[in-house]
Amino acid sequence: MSFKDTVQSDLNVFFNLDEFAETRTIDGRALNVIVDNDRLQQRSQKEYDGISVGEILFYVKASEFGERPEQGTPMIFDGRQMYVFDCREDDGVYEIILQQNRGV
Amino acid sequence: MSTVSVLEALQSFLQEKVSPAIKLQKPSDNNIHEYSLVNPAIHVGWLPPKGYLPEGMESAIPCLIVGLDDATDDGQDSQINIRISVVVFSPGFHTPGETGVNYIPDFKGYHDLLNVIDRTVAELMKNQIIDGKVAIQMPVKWGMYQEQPYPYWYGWITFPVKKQTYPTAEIARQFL
Repeated sequence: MSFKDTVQSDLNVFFNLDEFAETRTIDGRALNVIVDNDRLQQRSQKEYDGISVGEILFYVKASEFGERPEQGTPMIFDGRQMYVFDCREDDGVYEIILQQNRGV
Repeated sequence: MSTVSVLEALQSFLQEKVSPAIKLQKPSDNNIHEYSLVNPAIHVGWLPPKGYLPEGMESAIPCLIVGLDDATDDGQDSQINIRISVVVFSPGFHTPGETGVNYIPDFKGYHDLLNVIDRTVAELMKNQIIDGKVAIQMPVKWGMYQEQPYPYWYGWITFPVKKQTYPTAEIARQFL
């Protein structure tokens, strides 16, 4: 078994729904992701009266997600219209940070 | 006439002439597939704080906010520079589908923003004396902010208004 295969088999453990992963709807597709709730934030958007910014960070298998999303791409996460703030790839996993401008 | 009275006269004017003529999308931050239209609210100063909407108001946004940039009084003329901020929620294109609402995000929300601004400017140009007390002066200017907090869109309209000057002191009148 190659190193790549070992990593892939570890990923299957992490992204197992009975372990860490949960199913979320992203752009109309049900995907198994790991949401890092510790990083979920909401802060006031100073520049615009009445707007606050919500953030969510999640991990998803690159092979399941597909093409790496670019910064600024609109993305609908569980019905919330968000956009990609940042995306990194590490060992076949995307770490994606989404932001959402929310009204009062 | 006090500065607050001027702002409130403009609020009443916009409530009568602009708000009933326009329907815009109500924000749906938690479910983008929910789609409903509302008349824009008219605020003075700032948006009301979260959870404190005035009675009968469905949503704080979309809205027009009547605000004050600055004011001057040189003893001859008293002028107030008004800034109307315009806020709309326009994330993309909604169409009725077989199983609900189909939605495609786009960055065309500025169309809604500019249409509200155009309508407001047209009403201001048609009614340059408001409530018999506030005289709108030229130029009326408008624009959009360079960066937009998508799916919300922000723009502005500015213009000066004239109001009656405060009476000068007797001693000043004699010596000036």
